[in-house]
Amino acid sequence: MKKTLAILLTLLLSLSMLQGAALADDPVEIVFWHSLTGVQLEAMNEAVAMFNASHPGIRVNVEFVGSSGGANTGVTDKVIVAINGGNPPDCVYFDRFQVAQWADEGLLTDVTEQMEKNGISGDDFYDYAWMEVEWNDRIYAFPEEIDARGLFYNIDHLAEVGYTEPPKTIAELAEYNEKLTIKNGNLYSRIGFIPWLDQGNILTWALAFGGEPFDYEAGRVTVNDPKIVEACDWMAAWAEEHDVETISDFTSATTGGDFKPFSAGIVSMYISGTWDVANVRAQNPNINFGVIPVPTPSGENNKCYGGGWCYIIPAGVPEEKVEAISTFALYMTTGEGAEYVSNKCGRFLAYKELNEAATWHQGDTEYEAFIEMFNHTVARPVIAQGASFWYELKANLEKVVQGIDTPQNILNEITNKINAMIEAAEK
Amino acid sequence: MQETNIGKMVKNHTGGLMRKQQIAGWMFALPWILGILLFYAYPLFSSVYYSFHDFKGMTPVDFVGLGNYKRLLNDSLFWTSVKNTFAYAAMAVPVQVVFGILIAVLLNINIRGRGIYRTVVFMPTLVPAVAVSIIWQWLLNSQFGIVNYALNLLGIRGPAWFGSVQWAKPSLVLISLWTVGQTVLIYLAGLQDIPGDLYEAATLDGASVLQRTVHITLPLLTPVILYNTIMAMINAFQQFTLSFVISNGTGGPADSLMFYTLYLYKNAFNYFEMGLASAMAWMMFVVIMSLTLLVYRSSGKWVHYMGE
Repeated sequence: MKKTLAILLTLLLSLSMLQGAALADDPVEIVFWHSLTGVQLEAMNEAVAMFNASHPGIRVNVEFVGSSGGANTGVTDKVIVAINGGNPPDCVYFDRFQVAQWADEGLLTDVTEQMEKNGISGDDFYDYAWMEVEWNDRIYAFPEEIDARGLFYNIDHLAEVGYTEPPKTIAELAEYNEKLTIKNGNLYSRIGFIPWLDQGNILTWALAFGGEPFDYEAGRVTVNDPKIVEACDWMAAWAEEHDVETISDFTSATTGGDFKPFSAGIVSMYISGTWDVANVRAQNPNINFGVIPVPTPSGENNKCYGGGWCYIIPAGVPEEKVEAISTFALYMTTGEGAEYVSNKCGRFLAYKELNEAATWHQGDTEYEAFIEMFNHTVARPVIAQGASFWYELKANLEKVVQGIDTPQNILNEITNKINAMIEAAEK
Repeated sequence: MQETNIGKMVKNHTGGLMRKQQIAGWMFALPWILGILLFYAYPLFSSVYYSFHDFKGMTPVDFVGLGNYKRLLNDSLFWTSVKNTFAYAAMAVPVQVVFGILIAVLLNINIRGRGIYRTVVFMPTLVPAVAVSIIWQWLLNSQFGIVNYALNLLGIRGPAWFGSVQWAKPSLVLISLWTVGQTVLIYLAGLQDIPGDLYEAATLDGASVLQRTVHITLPLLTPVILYNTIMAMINAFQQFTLSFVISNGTGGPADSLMFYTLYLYKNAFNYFEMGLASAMAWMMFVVIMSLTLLVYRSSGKWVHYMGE
């Protein structure tokens, strides 16, 4: 027994020595999690391969981790579990609007020093992208891209019913919808427009109607702003008028598969973001479409929210690795990796210098349409309850549309709930 | 004298062997024991601990006593999720039991191609729950789904299924019936356990098919029905995947698919309320445990074990 133990111990010891010797020469291993698929996945893999080839001291291992519950906000639950389990991945591709809340909960590694060391500051990025990664004057993420939301419209459908121009006002939207919608008996074969499809949500319309969802001075949610109530009243009225239950299935039809109803030609207009230009083209190469800013009541004062993704380092990652991880994250957000991915899948970068120098979108009218929109794009409220606020808005959209309660009551409830969370945190 | 010595030696020897065997036994069981301690006992007991703490990000900070439990009782969405879960269980459990027995009885009839029918009924249970959700999301789509298309051909206007607050839960019950194959298998085994001579005797006495079913099949199937009822109940209370996938994680339309476990998940991962979520898990445990005991207690009145 003693002998066996002695042999085992010697073996273990020599193994650990071997490992120690190996570490001295081996590159730093970085585990990188993402939830990308399709073209995006290909571009990511190629950019990482480029990084590994040009950085012999670092080795990035890309691991695909399924998105959390189709919420399209990437890997979140698995990262929380990994952090709490004490074995987080070294780097994660992350939906940026959640950074403030995660940073506030202590789930992210502070990368301020790394940014400074590499001479990178907020001025190098678009404001609303930088705003999302800053929390209590510290930086918690590397912003990669920016997006904006606009109205996608099918040019051929519009021409079919005699329109050569897209709708610019809310009133025009309704008018176009009436002409574009085709109903055979009980079933619709085409719907002109559904305000709450895809990226059409409470925040989209709140901003289009000129509402302010958050008061930064007071530090309180103001989503019951009369203009936002007006926006939701409009959506509720639309739903009541247009047989909400039936047309809602046009919305749910998008969740099961990746095919957009717009790409299939069964919806003529919808709200979506920059990334969908590539998706729609991939799904239906023959579709002839255009993009304009989200319509507003007056047809002017366009405003939309934008976000984008970023690279984060979860809390609990060994300190000695942070520098190598940052090198990788910077390569993917401000370096050649960013340039490559942006060219390959049509992503607007948050890093100004590269975005302005980019040529991939030149002469591409659908993408160019977004460039002007970036001027009136704002971030989602950057607060410690940001992610919760967002999920609350998402969950309540259906209550508005299904007429469960009046928009005023629903918005009051959200306001009170989030403000109570803010107040509790202040104590 | 010598004999006893030998006796002692034998005893010692076997004692050593016993001990060796015992050690070997424990060693073989060790992976399982470690597994259950590490992956069941530890998380289970730490969730009791967390349920009494304000646990948000990394580490539990403040002891809040029954604070999490009190907060839940005052949370309207918590009660919505409780109501939804009970409503779903109240529909799903009886329907599954009745449907399961019916199918099992039909599959027990000696007809040609019985094996094929049995396979067909069992096959859907092999499909992963997420795939089931997505398949049915398409089948039951009110506009492009094949179910409403067929209904339309018959001149019936199909409901909006997942688009409607009234129909969302019944739609899930419908899906759960599709994957009832596992329970049908257990019912079938139960049916085959019933001695054939009972039926012969009853037939000789002139009992009809209905009488034989009511007076022989059903009473003798009750132990299996008890088991399947309890399992169906537990499954119904833990329904998560279907609503999570179909509502895209929102619990919609308008919270009608906001089940208890989905709300638990949202608290943990959308609102970072790990302590609250742990408290929810324990409340659920107590409720399921009590209901199971209740059903089990009542079983003395309606379950007949053969040979008693």
